[in-house]
Amino acid sequence: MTEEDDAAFDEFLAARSTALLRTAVLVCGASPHDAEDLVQGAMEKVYRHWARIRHDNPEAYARRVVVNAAISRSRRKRVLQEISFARPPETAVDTPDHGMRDALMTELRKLPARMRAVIVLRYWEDMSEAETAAALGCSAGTVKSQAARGLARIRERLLEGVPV
Amino acid sequence: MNTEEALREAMSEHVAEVHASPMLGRSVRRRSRRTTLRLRTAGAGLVTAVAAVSAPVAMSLTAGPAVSVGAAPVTNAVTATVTPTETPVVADAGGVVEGVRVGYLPETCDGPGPNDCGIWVGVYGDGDQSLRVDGRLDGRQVAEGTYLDASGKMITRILDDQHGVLVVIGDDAARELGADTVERELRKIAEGLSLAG
Repeated sequence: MTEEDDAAFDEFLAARSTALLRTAVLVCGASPHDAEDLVQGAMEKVYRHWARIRHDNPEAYARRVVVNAAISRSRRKRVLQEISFARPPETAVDTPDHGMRDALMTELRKLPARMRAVIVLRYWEDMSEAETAAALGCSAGTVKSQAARGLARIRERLLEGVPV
Repeated sequence: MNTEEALREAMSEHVAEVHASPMLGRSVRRRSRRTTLRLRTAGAGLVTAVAAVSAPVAMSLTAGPAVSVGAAPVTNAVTATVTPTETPVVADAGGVVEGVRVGYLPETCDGPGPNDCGIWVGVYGDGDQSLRVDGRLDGRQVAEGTYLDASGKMITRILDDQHGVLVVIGDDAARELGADTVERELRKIAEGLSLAG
């Protein structure tokens, strides 16, 4: 990699790393610390191919790497959680009401990883269906249906939680 | 406010305080170096062929402008690696690795292991910088600019600001030679390093 490539990589990180980190936090539902580790790993892949991709929409490439890594991590985490919670607690745990924002985030985290990624890219990154499809390597139709089902599921669960 | 808008707002608030570290670039580069240093199967196969001839070898693995080769200390094994795009170069004693002449290399064992009988000579193009960051200079100083790693299987010598040299001896070779001999041989290899041309 040339010095110019290196400098361009630094510029890219300065401009985009926070947004990528935020995307990772939202998609994998991890703490910022864990997400940073994930983003570091993803950026290492980007760095490895930087000389080739820097002139060809590196942001889309980087986002794709981050989102895929976040989905993978999220799936691993879910398996671990399922093992940990195989036996439900005997007593119900009081869950204080943290307001609508936390309720939404809780429901978002409950969605399957890929569906959550669609929601994050569509409604937080504000990407079009086509852009989201390209980032996730699926069809625009899949994005559309996943987004609709994800939103419906969140809506439904929020309504279930509303005291009558 | 509909669900989409509420979600957008919730997500924005949730990550509002999240900021990437300004050290991310440095961490990525450091991590990249470590990945390069990790043993990979592709590299291991190559070393088998080199080790099988029971001859002193040095390898130069080109990994970019700054770091040309690496080997990493691992608890139970000393390993070296190549990345898929690198081109390995094999040299005998007296050979040149990335601008560094390797004046001395000991005879090593003749083992079946893919990476246990080799000796790796890696040249870092940024002098002591990467080596310092990676903790290669934390060991015992045995001569000027020369540091022996705590594992006893790795020695680092800084020749100048463009040639930091890391020498690693394979596990089987180290076992066969014995700890005292390994240290002596590593020091002799380090002493035998010089700038070529």
